[in-house]
Amino acid sequence: VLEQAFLEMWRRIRTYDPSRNRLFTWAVMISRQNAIERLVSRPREDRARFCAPDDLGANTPPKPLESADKPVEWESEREQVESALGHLSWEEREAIDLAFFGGLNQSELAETLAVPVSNLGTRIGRALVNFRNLLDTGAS
Amino acid sequence: MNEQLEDQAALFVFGLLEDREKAGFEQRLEADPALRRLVDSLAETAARWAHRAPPRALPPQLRERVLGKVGGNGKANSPRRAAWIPWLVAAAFALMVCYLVAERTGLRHRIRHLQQRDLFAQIQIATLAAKSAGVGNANATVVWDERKQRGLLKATELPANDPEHDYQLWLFDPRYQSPVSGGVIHVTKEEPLRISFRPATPVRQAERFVITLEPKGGVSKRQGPIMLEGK
Repeated sequence: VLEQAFLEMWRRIRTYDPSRNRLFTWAVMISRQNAIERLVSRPREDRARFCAPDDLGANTPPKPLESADKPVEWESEREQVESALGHLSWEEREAIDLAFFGGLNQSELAETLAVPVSNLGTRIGRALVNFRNLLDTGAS
Repeated sequence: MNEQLEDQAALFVFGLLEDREKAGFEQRLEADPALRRLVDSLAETAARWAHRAPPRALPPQLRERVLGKVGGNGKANSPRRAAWIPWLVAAAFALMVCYLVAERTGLRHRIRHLQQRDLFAQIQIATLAAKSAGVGNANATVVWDERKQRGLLKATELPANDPEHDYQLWLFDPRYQSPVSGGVIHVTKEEPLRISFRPATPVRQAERFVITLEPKGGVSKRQGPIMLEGK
């Protein structure tokens, strides 16, 4: 999936507009989309259980990055995100976790979050805006 | 900008709009610069959620495979001379593969649970019994409030920790591959214990609770022996 994502980035590099988003954002979204497409193409019985982000540990390859290999800006951004996360409610974290990582469609996500489909956008949108505001506050 | 458009923008960013809805929204995007700015802003925010995953090193052959497919060192055939993504930054993308999996069975279980739940079902009470001779007659009770995402642990006769170890509470949520940590418990002397806890990861229905003995300060992934266990 990662190889596929990189190749797609290569093919679509002309479409990248730096005035709209950072390269990181553009690349993350392409990678995520490739991973979701691969996920939903699998037979149900081949799908592993949802792996929550906090759950990742020693059993999951590949190996962690060495500290020296991590860009400084990367660590700084991670710290900002961790700080913002601490101020989100668990409903907000769950909503974005499932929207981002879950590979669910609209109706599946609404069912999982126990909200009507018509309210799903509000639930996700409010959480995302709150997260954005926390990041902006932390950065300032 | 109306709220409905803002909600649609959030769904659009996560690829959650149905096809017809998405086509209509993309038409609006073409014509509405303010909506485009909102979408871009939400996409920036959403992408940063990727930092939830700790970075990992890339598979060693990946770079060569990709460069081989794009042509040599990637410079001769470059469609334009744009900054290429630093390979180390891409380490985070590798985690997408791990995270973007969901077990249908687990989701259906969750859906059934949601459909059947009521206020009382959101409170779970479990009695934990000693599973190791090392804790003698120790026992514990956990009260877990799913709605508030908080719990209370009461324990008696739990032996004091040695300087190298702590106890750690774990909650088993069927949605996750591994148990979720409820926190580290350091016992200095054997006396009734009463502590509140709040897991960092949302836990719905906890099927099992265990207390293990871990290296001092606790661990991110359960590894030590089970001292007490209950459902």
